[in-house]
Amino acid sequence: MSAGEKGFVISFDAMIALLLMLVMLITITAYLGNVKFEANSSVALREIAMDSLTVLDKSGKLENAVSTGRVNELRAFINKMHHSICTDLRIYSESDLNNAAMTVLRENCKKSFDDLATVKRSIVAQNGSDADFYLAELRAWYRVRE
Amino acid sequence: MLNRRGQIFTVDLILASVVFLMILTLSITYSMEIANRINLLEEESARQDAARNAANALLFSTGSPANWQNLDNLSGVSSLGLADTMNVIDAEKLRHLLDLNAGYYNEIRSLLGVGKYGLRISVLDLQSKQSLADFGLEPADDEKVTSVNRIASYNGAEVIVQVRVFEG
Repeated sequence: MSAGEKGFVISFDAMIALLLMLVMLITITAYLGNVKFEANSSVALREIAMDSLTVLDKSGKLENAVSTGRVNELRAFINKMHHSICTDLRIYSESDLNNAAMTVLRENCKKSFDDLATVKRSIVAQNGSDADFYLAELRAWYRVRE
Repeated sequence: MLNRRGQIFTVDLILASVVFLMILTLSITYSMEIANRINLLEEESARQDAARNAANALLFSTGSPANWQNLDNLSGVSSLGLADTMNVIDAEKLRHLLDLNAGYYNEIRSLLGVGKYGLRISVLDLQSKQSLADFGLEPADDEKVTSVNRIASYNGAEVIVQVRVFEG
């Protein structure tokens, strides 16, 4: 380049710097655009699961289910919940905690989830003069749109 | 060539200034947008916390004193709760809360820790979602509202206790 030729201010270096800055701006925009209250929806899901199991226990429906072997009341309760909530309720006998004695999976719910809340509660069912111990486990997740 | 005088405002300098000003404007606009967004998120988060704490107090606590529903006013009440036991609503307490709506709305908001927000508490049937009881003010359509729904038992039926807090 001779001394008489004109130079460009926007050199190759400057263009790279500008490009980098734009990339950073776009990255930050994309990141901020995706910020959501994931934590709150997880807490809400856990609260729903805990409340449901507590209400089922307090109303005696869990004890009725293990006493009679029928899950009608449990299913009726689960079906009343908001359609966006999927649940899988399992009751285990204390003698076999690996295989559920009863299972109530909400209809049309696929076990496909990003976020799962699991709560457990022990149940005592009177069996004559004896008491039988059970463990109720409720899994809740948001229904995935198909 | 060395004796020639240069000019400060060359085309190069003007071009550089334009680029600099563009970047500066973009940065300022961007910073303001980010600050605004963070502010909105913080407001939403604060309302969520307030609504969640109020719902927990209502469903898990009997209040203090536990027989506050028998008192004529709220002067001796240090906390409010609707629970008979956990997640089971005491009908007497709920009825008294509704009775206090007209005269003690502000005091009840403060007792539930949502004094700086508007408050609406609704008890809805779990299945039909029909309202069984309402306390507080209905938020306007343009209000920023945060809602927390909890499941409970009331008079033997399963209900949703919906706590809504809103700016205003």
